[in-house]
Amino acid sequence: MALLSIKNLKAKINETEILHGINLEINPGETHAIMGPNGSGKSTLASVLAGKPGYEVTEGEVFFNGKNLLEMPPEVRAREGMFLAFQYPVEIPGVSNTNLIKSAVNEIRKYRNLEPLDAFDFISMIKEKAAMVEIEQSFLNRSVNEGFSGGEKKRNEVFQMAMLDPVLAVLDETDSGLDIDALRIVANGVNKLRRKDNSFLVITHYQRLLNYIVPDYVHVLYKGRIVKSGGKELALELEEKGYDWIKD
Amino acid sequence: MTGLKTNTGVAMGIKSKFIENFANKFDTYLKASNLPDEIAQFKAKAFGRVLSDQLPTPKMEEWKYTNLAFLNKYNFELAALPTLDCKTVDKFIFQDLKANVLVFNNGKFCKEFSIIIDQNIEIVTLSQDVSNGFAWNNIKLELASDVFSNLNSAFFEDITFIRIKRNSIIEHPVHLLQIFDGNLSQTSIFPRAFITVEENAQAKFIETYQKIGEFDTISVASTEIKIAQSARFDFVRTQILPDTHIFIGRTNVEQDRNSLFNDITFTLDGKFVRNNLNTKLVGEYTETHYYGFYFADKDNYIDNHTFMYHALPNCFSNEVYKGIVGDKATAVFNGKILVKPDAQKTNAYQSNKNILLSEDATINTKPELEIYADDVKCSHGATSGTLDEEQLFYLRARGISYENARNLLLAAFGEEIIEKIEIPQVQNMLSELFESKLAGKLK
Repeated sequence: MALLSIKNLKAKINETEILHGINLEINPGETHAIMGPNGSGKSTLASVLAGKPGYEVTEGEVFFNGKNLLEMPPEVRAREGMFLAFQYPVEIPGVSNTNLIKSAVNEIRKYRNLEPLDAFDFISMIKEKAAMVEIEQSFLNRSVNEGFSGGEKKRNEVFQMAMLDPVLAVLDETDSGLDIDALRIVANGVNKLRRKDNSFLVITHYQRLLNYIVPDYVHVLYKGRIVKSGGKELALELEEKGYDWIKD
Repeated sequence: MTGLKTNTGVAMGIKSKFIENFANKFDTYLKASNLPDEIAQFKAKAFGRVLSDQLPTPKMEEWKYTNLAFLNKYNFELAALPTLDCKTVDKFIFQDLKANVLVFNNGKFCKEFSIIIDQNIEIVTLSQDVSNGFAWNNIKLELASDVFSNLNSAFFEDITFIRIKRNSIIEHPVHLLQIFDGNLSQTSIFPRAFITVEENAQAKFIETYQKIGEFDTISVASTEIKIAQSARFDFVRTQILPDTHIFIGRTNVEQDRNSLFNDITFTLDGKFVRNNLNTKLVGEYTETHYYGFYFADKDNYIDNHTFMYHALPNCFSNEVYKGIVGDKATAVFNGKILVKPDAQKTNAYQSNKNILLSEDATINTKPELEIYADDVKCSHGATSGTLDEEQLFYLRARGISYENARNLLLAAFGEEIIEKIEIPQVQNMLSELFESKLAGKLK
């Protein structure tokens, strides 16, 4: 059974339809990339999957682990194992990274009928995962994303992903605005999390990220539809020929 | 009920049952009180003013958001014999905080329950020692411009004078524990205190309120604080009041040269709370911080009127008030800053931020800046809105429930004020109370 199954998904925001019928299946262990020009609906797809308020699904269905994803509030999607790495992580003054991650880890554990992590296990887990994305301990006591550089925000997303250990991670333009060193750190972090039983949906405008996170499949999104699918070589072809090639 | 003029032609407020109730008691009270002539005469004058002013109406600028008519349904008695015992007092003392504890029962200082551990704090009451108390820093009894202060003057049972001696640093916090006793009847309480922080002295005060008994109570408090040259005074007021208590309090502060005053007013609950906090600067190079936090829900009414009076140059003041208003509650913030023509090089800042949790909640926020000097830096800002949707979604996308996400954000909003409290035990207590209120309220 597919981990994620999207059938004829149509969605609109403010009365404007952005997604005109998306079809996509992701199996456990697979990494899919979605590429597309600006305005093609990439971020809308990520937002709809995560359950962001303001988007209205008008047609189609999405099943996640065999369950109807669209009926779940955002927090239940996360507890079921979905993770969205935000393109623009929001700053939350007054809520520390540690506080956020502790609340998240324990609410997810509770949903799965697990005891809360004890302080010792929690701290050692934090240390391990923070090292993976080269985050310093002091960073964890700071307010969520407040005053972080673009690179720090993206590393924080991958750190949270590592802590929550999702079965499906959606990376929404995680490469945007990153210099090459930060890109490597973020990509290495993601690669360390790849296993046979989890999947990734990497949304990007550029091919460069896919040199580091090598996908099994590449899909091209254009005007709210997937217009082409292929293997990783499709990304290189796009890089070479540009998106105009798709438009014809 | 509408006699706007007396037969002598003096303008009067609308007669109210609330004032009439006190008018019926005043003569008997004064005769029985056995006070020195000077004070008895002052009280008579003060009550004369109360009678002519009557209750404020929303037509008065100072009370434009407030309908006081609900006061007329009560039949308050004057405070009778206390029912307090040690066990009750013990429950209300911070168990993990070594502090000087000053217990007040219905506004009257109770020496027998109080614990003074630091030297250099001196306390006398009007009933014990009239002359000394007034001698400290030339303290005087004066008529006020507002009816509740005059009502306090007319009916205060005692005055507590607290003196922090020159050049002393009071090591432990001073806990003013105000107990409102409604065990015997509907009771009116008129606490009156003068606090004098003498030259180059330092002290931290925390005031808490506890209601006992079933009957409704009202406290109309008046506190006057003088902070002398180079002195520092920290005042934390934690107001967590049950539905059966009405709170009206005025704090007048006078700050002399080089002094520092930090006020933190924390109101977590209250059916009717009206705070007036006024600071007048009487010396240069002073620093003043007003921090406030209020969380009004149910049908709470929480009203903070603050006033910063910059009369002299080179002074700094900063004011940050934040509030959460839910259900059908109403909150008021009115922040006045007056900068006199002589007060050049004044820095005066003010901000008021509010989060509304329901459509029926009301916030009235009004900055009032009057600036008559030209070389000053002054700013103010007021916001009111709902929680940030992007922040809420971010937290929920991490698996955190809507309720808990909301609580995390509201807690962060309040913590900014709580963390200004420099007494860790008090800080922790307020964090816990605040968070448990959030959890209970928003379950």
